[in-house]
Amino acid sequence: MDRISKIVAIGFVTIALTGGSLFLYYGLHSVRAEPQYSTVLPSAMDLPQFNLTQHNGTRFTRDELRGSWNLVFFGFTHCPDICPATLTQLAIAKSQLAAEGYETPNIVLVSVDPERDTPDKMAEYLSHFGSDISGLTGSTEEILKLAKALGIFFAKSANPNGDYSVDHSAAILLIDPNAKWHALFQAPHKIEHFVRDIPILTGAR
Amino acid sequence: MIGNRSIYILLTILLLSCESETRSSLEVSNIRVFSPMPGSSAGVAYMTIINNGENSVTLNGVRSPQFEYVEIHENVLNDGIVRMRHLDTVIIYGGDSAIFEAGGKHVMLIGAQPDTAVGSDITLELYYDDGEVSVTTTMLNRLSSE
Repeated sequence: MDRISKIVAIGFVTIALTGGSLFLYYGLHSVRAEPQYSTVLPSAMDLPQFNLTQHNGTRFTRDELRGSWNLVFFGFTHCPDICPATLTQLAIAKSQLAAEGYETPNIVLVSVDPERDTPDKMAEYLSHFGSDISGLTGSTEEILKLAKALGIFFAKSANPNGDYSVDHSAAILLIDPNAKWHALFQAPHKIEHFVRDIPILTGAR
Repeated sequence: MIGNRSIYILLTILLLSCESETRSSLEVSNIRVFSPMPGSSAGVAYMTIINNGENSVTLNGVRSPQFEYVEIHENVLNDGIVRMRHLDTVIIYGGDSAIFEAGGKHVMLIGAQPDTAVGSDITLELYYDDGEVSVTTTMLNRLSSE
């Protein structure tokens, strides 16, 4: 083999190796998309048993979380700003994902203000967002069982007008079909974050 | 005496001209009023107030004829926890702006008048330390407006 042929051969081998490496790198990365806006727990965590009431008056326990993915959000109906904004974002993300053909998680709002949030009140409130959002309320003790297990804090805060607000964790928790805590979205929330990550988290993409 | 009077008149004119200059330097934009959610008594208003003047302006309160009372609140997100706090005043420095938006500062509208609904005109009266500005917009449904 003369010198020119050697150089040409080395050139071809170099191009082939570089191309092959790039193909493998991008190929593998596009196949295994990673969630960008959410955190997956190192291992899914069991939830304790709890006994709450759904907005339609039926009993809602840990078993009701089995069989499908659930996005759980803690809030209250007297919250005028962040709670309706978050529920609206979730409802829009869900409809966008459904339009793309994905099976979507159920949305579950757990009240941190059971004193004012009766099942009827929650039913009226949730009617605005569509029929497939569940609202849970019950005794503070039962709500705390679920909240504590999911690392959610809430506490009443008095307003100067004699009314009160409730400070609460704004994270949204993703529960897997085995009723185990799988991942979480931290605030501030954005529709595109849910649309991008939910299919990856549920293994649909 | 005449000299003093002239000075007073001159000062008054100067003060009045400063006042009108400061007020006209305020620009309220991107106003959105969302109706109270079903079962809830509180609606919310978002907007941007731009202070194009050099002096700072203080927003001391908001009123609306369509609501019993109006409060300025701020949601503060700290360590993943949202805390809603009352604001008595909002200072908007010269050349700066105050943004009222979901998850941040917002105007909470409490106790809607019986005929107030989605599509109603809502007037917000913004009370500054140097005067009042009224803005009117149509009340929207949050879900269909996002």
